[in-house]
Amino acid sequence: MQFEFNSSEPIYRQVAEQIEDAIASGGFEEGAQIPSTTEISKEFHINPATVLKGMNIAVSKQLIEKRRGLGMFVKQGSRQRIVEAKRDGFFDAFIVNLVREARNLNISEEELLDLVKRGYSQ
Amino acid sequence: MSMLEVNHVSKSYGSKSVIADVNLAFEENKIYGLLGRNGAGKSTLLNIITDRIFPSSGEVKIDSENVADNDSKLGLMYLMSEVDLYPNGAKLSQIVKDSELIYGGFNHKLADKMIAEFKIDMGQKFGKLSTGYNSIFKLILALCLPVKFVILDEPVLGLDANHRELFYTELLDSYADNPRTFILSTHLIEEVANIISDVIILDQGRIILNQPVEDVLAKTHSVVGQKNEVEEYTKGLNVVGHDDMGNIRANYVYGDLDDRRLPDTVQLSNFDLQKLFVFLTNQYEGSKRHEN
Amino acid sequence: MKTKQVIKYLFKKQLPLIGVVYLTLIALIIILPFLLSVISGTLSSFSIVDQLRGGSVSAVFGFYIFVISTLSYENFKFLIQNGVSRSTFFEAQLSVNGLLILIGNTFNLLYGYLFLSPITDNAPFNLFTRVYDTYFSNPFVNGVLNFVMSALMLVVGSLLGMVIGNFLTLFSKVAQRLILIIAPITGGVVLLFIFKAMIDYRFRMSWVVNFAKLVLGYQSSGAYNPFALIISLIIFGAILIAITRLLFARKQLKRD
Repeated sequence: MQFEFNSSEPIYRQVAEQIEDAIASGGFEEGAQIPSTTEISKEFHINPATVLKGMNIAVSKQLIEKRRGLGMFVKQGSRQRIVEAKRDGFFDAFIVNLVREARNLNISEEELLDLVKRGYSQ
Repeated sequence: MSMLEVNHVSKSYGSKSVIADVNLAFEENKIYGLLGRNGAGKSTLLNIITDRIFPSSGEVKIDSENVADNDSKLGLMYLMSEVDLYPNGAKLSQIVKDSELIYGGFNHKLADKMIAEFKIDMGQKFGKLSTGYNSIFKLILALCLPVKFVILDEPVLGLDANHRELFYTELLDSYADNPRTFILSTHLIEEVANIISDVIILDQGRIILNQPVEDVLAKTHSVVGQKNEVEEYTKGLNVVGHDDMGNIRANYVYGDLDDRRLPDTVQLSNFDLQKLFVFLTNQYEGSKRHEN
Repeated sequence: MKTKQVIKYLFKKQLPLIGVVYLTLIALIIILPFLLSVISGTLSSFSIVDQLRGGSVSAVFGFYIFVISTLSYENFKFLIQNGVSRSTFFEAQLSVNGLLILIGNTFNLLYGYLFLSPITDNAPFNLFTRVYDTYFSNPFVNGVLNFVMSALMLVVGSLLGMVIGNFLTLFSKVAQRLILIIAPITGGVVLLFIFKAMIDYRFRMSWVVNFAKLVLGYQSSGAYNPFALIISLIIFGAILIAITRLLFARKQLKRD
């Protein structure tokens, strides 16, 4: 697992995001066990309660589940759920900024669409 | 539940006040960060908590019982401090034996592991240790003695980067194995920022902040943009610091933002504990009022 | 209470010192004079018996117990680091000193009665054998009283050490040195002044002399009454214990 943390966003949210990213990228496969709270805590020097809070966010998003006595496992279908959630947020997260920046640079709608097409053709 | 309480503790030397009416409660199984600049009074406060020195007024209690001159309560704490209270001529292994005798227990398994990891020779005499190994030895005692409150005053003093990493790993491992209360007193905030769950900032003998780290971070806001727009937006807020770069200004706010409208050109994000600490303890002119 | 553990710790730490003390004693009263007589060529007049007669094991042991009693800050540091209260330290230190005195005193008297007396024609070897020995004619009663009196003297010596040592630890290192220099000088000057007054003006401090006589159980003829001194030592000891307790309760870590 390759976690990287920045210091200006709450750590528990970053833990949840990193787990999500690892599942989306295939780093954590569906049905596979992920590192325990203690392991993540020790490895990245994060308070275990904070790690647990991040894990619980991932649990509430139906991405991972706890198996009693065994640990945390990636849920079946979680990757699909992440993709769907990301699609839902795609407009706000990327398009709004893209259009704003294009306007600042005086790029017209047609020019922007051309650029998008060029991006796809690469 | 074991609860350590500091009630209205003050300490002055002559007319110089070192600790001024400090009130704190340390709850079971949490990791606290006691932060303060050099000379803020951290060590004095910890010495009072462990009955090494007397407060001028106030008291320290564990589970509602005063700790002063009380073996059963004092035996629940271990304070690892910069000052050396062990005999210089004693062998490390002998100090371990004597400490085990008095505390009534010692986690030899963990100690052996740490001894191997840090490569410390237990046949050495205490007075011959380098600063780094002096700290390491005392950290081993702190983690292996059977106490409910592990109090570490500048724990990584003289440790190199590798040993610091190793220490934080061991600390969290030992905490996971055997949850108990930790109080980490340090001025190296970045290193402990993610480890602690609650932050206490001591400045000139007074507590100026005492809250869960998460709540504190949620109240930090850096407001960046054109100078006039930033000033307009932050008017009336608790601005604790600022940075200027040409016409771009960053105002650092500590506290809740109200519903005021954020201009498109102004960017809002959080800032970290280290920055907040610097602003609060530098007594930045913009604010004397700190929310608690 | 952790009194038992602390007693064990202090006892283990201070017992080996007794051995060192007796070895030093042998070196001082036998080996050193022997070497000196070899060097100076007076070996023929060297007598071990004379040397033994002259050296007082009781005094040396008394000095040892006095010195270890003054050194309490080192132990305080270690014990407060380990969460031991001042009152437990006080009780444990008293118990350990008592134990050491029991051991040392037994050794001293056995040495005196079983070894020194036979080879020196029953020459007195301590205060009791010097002035109280004929108060009772029964040697067994005398032995017991000697044991009690010697032990009490050691107890008072040890308590004096504790009072001085603990009084000094209330001060910083610099102040301690100043006190150690100034106190003997002032004491000396005061004594000189008193002696001078006694001689110059034929000033007779009759109450001082009478008080000393009372404490020692002085009698104009025959042996002194040992009970007077024993009771005096008990009273003095009790006062010193109270002072020591107060001083222990005020101990704290110094700012160095």
